[in-house]
Amino acid sequence: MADPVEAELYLRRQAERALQQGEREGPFGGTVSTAATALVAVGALTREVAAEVMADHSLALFLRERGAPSFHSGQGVGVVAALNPPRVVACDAVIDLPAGQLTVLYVALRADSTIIAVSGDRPMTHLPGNPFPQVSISDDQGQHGMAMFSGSEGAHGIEGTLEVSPGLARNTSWLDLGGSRIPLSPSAPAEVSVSLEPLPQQEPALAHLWRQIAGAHRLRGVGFHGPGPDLEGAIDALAAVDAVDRDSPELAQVRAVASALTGQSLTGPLPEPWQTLIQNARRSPDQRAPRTAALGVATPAIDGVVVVIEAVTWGRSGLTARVEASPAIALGGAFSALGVERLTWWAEDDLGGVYLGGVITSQTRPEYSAATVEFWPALDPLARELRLMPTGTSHRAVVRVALAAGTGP
Amino acid sequence: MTPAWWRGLAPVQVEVECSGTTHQVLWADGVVRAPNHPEAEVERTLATLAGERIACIELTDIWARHRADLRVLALTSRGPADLITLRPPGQFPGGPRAGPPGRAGRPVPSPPAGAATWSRVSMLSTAAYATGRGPQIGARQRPPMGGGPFDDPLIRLLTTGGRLGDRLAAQVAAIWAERLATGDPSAGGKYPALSAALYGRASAAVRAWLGDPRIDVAVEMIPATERPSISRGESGITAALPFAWISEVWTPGLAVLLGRFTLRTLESDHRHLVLETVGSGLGPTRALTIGL
Repeated sequence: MADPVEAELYLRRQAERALQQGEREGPFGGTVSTAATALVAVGALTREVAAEVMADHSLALFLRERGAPSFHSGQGVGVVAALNPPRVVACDAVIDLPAGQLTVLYVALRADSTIIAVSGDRPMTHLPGNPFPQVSISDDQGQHGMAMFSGSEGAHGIEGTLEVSPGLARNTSWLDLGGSRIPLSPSAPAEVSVSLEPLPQQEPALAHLWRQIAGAHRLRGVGFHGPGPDLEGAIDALAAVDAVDRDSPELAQVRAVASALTGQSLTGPLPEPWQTLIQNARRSPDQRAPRTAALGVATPAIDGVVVVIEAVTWGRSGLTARVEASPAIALGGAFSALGVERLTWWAEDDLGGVYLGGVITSQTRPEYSAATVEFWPALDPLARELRLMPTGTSHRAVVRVALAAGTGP
Repeated sequence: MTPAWWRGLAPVQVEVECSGTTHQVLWADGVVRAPNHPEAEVERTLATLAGERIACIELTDIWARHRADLRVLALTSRGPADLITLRPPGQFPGGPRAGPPGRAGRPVPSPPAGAATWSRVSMLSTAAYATGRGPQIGARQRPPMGGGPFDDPLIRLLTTGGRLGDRLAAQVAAIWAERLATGDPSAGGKYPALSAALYGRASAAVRAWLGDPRIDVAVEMIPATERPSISRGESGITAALPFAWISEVWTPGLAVLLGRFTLRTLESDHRHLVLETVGSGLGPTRALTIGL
């Protein structure tokens, strides 16, 4: 076990170096938070001590007008809520709105909001002074509201959601959306099963480094979008407390994968699942309209994190899943908490394909976060089954989804 | 005899908006005072009963509460190149006067021209701070903030200006040097914070001394009874210094004099000061005597 005094001294000296070298702590952290996270992850330092050092460092930068103070680092896990899966109904309705024609992929009726996932072939018609469409929405029990659009709009059309809060009746048999009625008749549920699996034992330091790579929320396309995680900063901290051997072959593999993800050519085989992942990294999404598997399932707690998967969508915008997690911090985003590992999002198909996801949009509420997780590469068009695997530190859930209609031509 | 920790530190005066007017809070000879409130205890009691705030007394109270707070060393300046530029949104506006006043507001006489004394050296150093050279005086006022870091009284004091925060850091460093010297058990659990405070200040001083901001500097915190040293190795500079180096050498501006790095004070009395110093070639140490 590492000496906690040495670990604290390392972190405090790291803060001194960062201060002298003019470093600014960015929204995604800096060298001090990288070291603190690593030291806490391997148990070399308590979360409280690490948080104290980070808070002082953050204030020191603030006093020098080199960043806003951030206190989130010292926060605890936060509230863990029992998430009730929403009622999710798959749809294939086309509606005409002033903004254009949209296809409704599915409707998720949550306790606190109602979400309508939509796609469109053409860019929306934006009304003057109203760049984001609002649509009136009502249910069969007389409740109504205005649903706001959020999502992306590009040359291929639009993908996004219309959301109204508070939610409409969960048991409504239809929704009226801007004058178009969408039937929500009971449909055959998607074939889905959920289980929890232990992960193989791994050295805590190496496990932390692998999670840093897999969980980098800027992980997009064929590699890191941006600088990626400060792997060497984490390795320095771990080596300082003898938690990792700088010359170990396992560490060489971590570095090789990180190098491959930054676009460097491979010099040898990578460990699985990274080898398969990177081999298929450049597979493009098929260009057909999006399809959806409506799930609405909750996983068992994954290392204390409860996850709900609303739906999986694949098509021209790639492979995405809409998810919720509690505590909110487990989905990451710009904020993190010391000692709370974000989930990493792995997936496999029935053909041996491997996928890795990253959170691309998220909404954080006190008790949970809702997010869209985008996986790469695009789904293999011949796949008939997808296994989504939200992964914690010692366990992962496996949500097995039959891609009923198939994805092939 | 060990000199008082405040020796060589010029007095500091800050102006404080208090009770509808501008007051002064003074620091001199290790003591912070609110001269516009001679009956501070009575006023404090009355203000508490009336639910009112007296900014000057608040400031002196904050000082008293944090006089041994090691967070102060984590937050305050590591040297002339590291200034606290932030200003508060209005709690203790005013900032430094144009020059360092003497006690009770008397102006400090200018040191005689050419007098190569310790007083002059330290006076020039601290006067440069106190007159707010660089961004200190011109730092912009921030709009009032609801909550946040300025709710922390220590942050309000450190952003008051006039080097009051540096004087508080000097006091904190002196208290912990004394605790280490006397074997105070409270110092044991604070080794990382103490060592890091020494590392930050000594490494910044060494880098400035050698004109190499990127050179690797390792600083080992040694007991006050051991002989300090500094040497160059393959990976950079290694210094072995006691924590008391902060109070005795760094705080009064003696870390680098005449191009030499000061390891410790050998002798000190009211007439002269003898320092053990090293040249930039890192050769043998030499005594540097300063007449006061």
